[in-house]
Amino acid sequence: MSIKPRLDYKSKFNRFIYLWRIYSSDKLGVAGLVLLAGISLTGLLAPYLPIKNPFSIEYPRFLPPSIEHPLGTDHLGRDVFSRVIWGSRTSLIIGFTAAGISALLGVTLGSIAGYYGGLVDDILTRIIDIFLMIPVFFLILFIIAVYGSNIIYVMVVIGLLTWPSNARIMRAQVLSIREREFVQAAILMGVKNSKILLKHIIPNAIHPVIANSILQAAGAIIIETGISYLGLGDPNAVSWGRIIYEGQSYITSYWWISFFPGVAIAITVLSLYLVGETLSKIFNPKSMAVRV
Amino acid sequence: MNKRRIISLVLLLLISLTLVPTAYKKVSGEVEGPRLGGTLVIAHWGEPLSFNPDAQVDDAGYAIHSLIFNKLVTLDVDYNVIPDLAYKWEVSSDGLVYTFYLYDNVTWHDGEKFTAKDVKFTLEAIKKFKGVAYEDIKVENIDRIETPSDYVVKIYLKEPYAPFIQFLAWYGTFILPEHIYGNVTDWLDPNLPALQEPVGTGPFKLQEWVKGDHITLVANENFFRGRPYLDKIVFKIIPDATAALQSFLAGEADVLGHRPPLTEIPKLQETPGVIVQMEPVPSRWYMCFNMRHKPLDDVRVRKAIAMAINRSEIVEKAENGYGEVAEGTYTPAIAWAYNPNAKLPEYNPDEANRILNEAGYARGEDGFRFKLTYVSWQGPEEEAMGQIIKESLKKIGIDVEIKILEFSLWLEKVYKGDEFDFTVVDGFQGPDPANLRFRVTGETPQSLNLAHYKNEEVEKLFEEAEKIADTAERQKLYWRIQEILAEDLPYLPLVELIVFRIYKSEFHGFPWEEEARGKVGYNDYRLVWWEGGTPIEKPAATKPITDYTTAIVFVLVIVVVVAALFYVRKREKAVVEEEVAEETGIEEGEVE
Amino acid sequence: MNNLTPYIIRRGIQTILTIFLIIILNFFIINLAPGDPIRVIAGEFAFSNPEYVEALRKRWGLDKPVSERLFIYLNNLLHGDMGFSFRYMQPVAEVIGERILATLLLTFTSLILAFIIGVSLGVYSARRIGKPVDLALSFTMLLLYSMPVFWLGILLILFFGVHLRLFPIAGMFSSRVSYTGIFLVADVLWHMFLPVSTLTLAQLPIYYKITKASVIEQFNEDYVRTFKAYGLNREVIFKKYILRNAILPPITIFGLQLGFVLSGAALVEIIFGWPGMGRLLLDAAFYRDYPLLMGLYLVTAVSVALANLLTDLTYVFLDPRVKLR
Repeated sequence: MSIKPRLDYKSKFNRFIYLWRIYSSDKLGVAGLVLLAGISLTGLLAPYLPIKNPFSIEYPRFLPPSIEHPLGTDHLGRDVFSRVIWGSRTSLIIGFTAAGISALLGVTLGSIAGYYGGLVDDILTRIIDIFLMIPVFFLILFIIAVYGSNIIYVMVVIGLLTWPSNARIMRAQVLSIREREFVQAAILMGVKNSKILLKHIIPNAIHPVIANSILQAAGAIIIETGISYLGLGDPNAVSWGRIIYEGQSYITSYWWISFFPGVAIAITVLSLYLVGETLSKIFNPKSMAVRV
Repeated sequence: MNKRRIISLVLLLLISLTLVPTAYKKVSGEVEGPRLGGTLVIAHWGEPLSFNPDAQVDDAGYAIHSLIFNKLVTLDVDYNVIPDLAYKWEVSSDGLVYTFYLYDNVTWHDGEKFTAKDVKFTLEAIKKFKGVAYEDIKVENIDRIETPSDYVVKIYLKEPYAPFIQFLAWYGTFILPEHIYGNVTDWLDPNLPALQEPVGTGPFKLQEWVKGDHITLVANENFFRGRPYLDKIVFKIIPDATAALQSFLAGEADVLGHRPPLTEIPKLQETPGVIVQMEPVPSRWYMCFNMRHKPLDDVRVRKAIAMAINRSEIVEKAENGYGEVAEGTYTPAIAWAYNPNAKLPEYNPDEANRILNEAGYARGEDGFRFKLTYVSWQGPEEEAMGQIIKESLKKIGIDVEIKILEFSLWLEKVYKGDEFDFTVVDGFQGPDPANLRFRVTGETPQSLNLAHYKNEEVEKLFEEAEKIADTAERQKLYWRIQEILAEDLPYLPLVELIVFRIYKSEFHGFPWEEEARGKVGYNDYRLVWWEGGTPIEKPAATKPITDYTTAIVFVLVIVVVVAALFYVRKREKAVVEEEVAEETGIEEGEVE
Repeated sequence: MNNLTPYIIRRGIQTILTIFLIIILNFFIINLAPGDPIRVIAGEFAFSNPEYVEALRKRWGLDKPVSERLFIYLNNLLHGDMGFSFRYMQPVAEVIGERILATLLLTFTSLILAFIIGVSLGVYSARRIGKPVDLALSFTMLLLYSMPVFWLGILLILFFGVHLRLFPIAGMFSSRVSYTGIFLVADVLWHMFLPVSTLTLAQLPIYYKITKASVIEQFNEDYVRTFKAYGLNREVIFKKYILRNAILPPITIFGLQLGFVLSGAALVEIIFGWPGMGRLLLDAAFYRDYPLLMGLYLVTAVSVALANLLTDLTYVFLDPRVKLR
């Protein structure tokens, strides 16, 4: 089912209900949403949950999973379960921030390219093409290795490198919406370009970008865990990738340290994919990002 | 007749009994060595930068260089100076003239003869090209080098320098071929074939270098101390410690050239066929306070931090119990120089809190007095230490931010720059306590004085100690230095390191094993042999009864006994026939 | 087809331009990085005399300002010289050349395997949609898609390499015996098994999804209904028409993935100690080996650009509806 959101709905609320009806028809999508909500809530509420301090090194080392420590303890005597819970905060923050930066850049540049066309469009498209050809992981690896492993760098760099896909989508949307009657009318009426863009075009064109951003958040989490896994992550934060990295040396004897964060990553990424691709299916029927 | 039979049987039995022990000895399975042949595979942690062993710091290449090249003298596993290319040496009584007597049967891998001019050239090249040994052997202090004959080298120093020979035996002093490097304008020129295809005098030659995968060395048939027992040594390059460990356990390597995750040590010790040898080394993990940054310039703060860190916890958690708690300001592994009375503060976080309170560093609203940055390079032990230190200092109100940098960035920010409050380093502090000078005096990046500690008395003590030769006198001076360091605490030693040597028990003759200890340099595998090789024939004088001899003797005895038996029977038969003939009058062969 | 040639030329020029711009961009990123490679070469021990450091700097041309170095670099490139690697003391072209085959061995193999297996499974699933087989496959693919590739690699190592001792877990060759000929091939294949499996499993889901969706889309097309109404054999419809149309999207993906054939295996190479370009990049970054890094990016950029070009051209041939923009 591919229905574009109708622009003539009376209120935003109605529009939202309408969207929800469509979305909820997809069971997997709903499952993903529930999962995502659960993970986000756990992450948000982590400091208030009755779990152990993830930084404290006072427990015995290398305890296997037990009631006291559901996922065991690591090589320094820290509780793995609470570290995994706290790790969700880090991953979700990174995912959404990176995706947010990417979306912001992508929407801005994409709309400009699509709306104004001409030389500006050509240049921007050229830039987009170039960026799409940069092997992202390689470059991030290098930048982190060289400039240091601050978590902020990771987020910003991922955002800065992944905006082109959003820009492309945005641009295509803007191109088509620009030809609509109401936009043409507004132009004729002399409404300022920026106002047209902000009030009319972008709000209607943004939906596929939202879907794409969710997928990008998943991508960002995968990249960050990959970087942390190589040992380049921020040692002051609790990151799933880093837990796997630290536990890797002990994997033959104390497998739980590296195993469970991997599961956590898979579940989080899974939920993001489910949500993102359901949304994609709704907003962007012709897109290649079709869920299984 | 019966009696004879019995007697001969008993004799036979007795004789076989004496031979049984020798036969039995063979069966009990003790492999005698050394044996020729075999390939030793080492799971090595890194790739060499090149095959010029003196031009740059190349820790990954050092093990390999040690097999391809020789030095004048070298260090054995106990840090004693032993002969290498020089079989004998003398020092003049004023400490200014060092005379080395060289072996005369040494050839380079390309066939040229090795002579004193190679030694002279190498030392001059270290000076000219600023090799890594430049400072340790104090090349500027060498007045001139003479070669009165092809196999004698005389080095004249401007001032006495007591540790000269120790450092000559240590690092970056491999002798290079003059006939190859002689006219070179840049000994690290990438176009030089010698950088990829080295020519040395060592027990092994380079056969091939497959970048990123392995390096194969083959035995040098013409090595001046005799051909090594092994045929080949392969350094397999596996940078990841866990992968290397798995490779070793899977039988793909014979030696684990990595420090494995320390929690795996017990498992390795229980693995059949694997030997885990441990020894203390003159190296320790120590914290360096950047004394240029407040409040680390305040000795009370440093003392408080020292009291807040439980060094036993660090040994237990970061080193998995393998190591000793550091108690003093120099390494106890160089026993004569270690001062056991200059002790570090005991673990006492309450006292630490009290000191900081009194010193006026009040806690803020968040409970913290001030913030410090801990910067270290990557590695499981370093990172674990960081976490432990962070948690420990939290208890006395210090907020620690951990920064893990990859090594070259660490060099940039910490070693060359100023962007850290404290860091942790390790490093070899032998073979002579003069080595400590590079760590506690001087300016970075020329020295390793990361704390930027300045103390004139300490500097003077070091200078004096280098000039005198009497060990007892030097000990007094070094002891005093350690006392001062224990008071000022520019550095906080944490753990005395243990070195692990992990290898398959079917190989013998490693430099740390009894049969080779003291005879070879600490990286020299020329005496290593493999149980699966072919036994070497030993000279007849000390030859015990071998299997062959036993077999031959056994066979001979049987033949003799059997022959004797036959003879006896024939005689008996003849006697019987005589008796029968006498009684019946019938001759043999006549039908009745 | 007469608007094809100018199209090719136009795309060709675009590609070259893009590569050029990437090189310049990368050059600046790399060379403006903090950290002095000379310090690294000098190492922790080298109580370096400043003159020695200067001599080193001159040798590597690092005493000149960045812009000048850029021109020197570009000039050298045009002559086919990618500079010298600090770390390996060899021409960059040689260092990369020694490793490129190893990487391609992994990536090409896994790419092709993932394509074949993924597409087949996707088609299989599409034709049995809703049935338990389809659901099971979908679920598995979803899981595979979500798993971090390095975690997958670790699990495979643990199970096959350590627990079952079936496959070697590091390196490309056996160290003890040097095989030749057919045995060498067998040895490398044996070492390849785990890394290729990891990469293939990681890439499978994409092909599966795209193919399945694409086939289902074809099912809903009008022409299929028409053909069925006319009574054409279902198998014929499927093979001759549906499949042909449905295969386009997976091929597009294949083309896109082709571009990452040199860079995509970095993590896997590092985990398995495979002597390819991924590990090379990590080490080069750590060692601040600028020329080597530049060479690596150059090679990667070129391959991506070429792959894009190829994909576009192939698409033109396969799908006449594509407008030659």
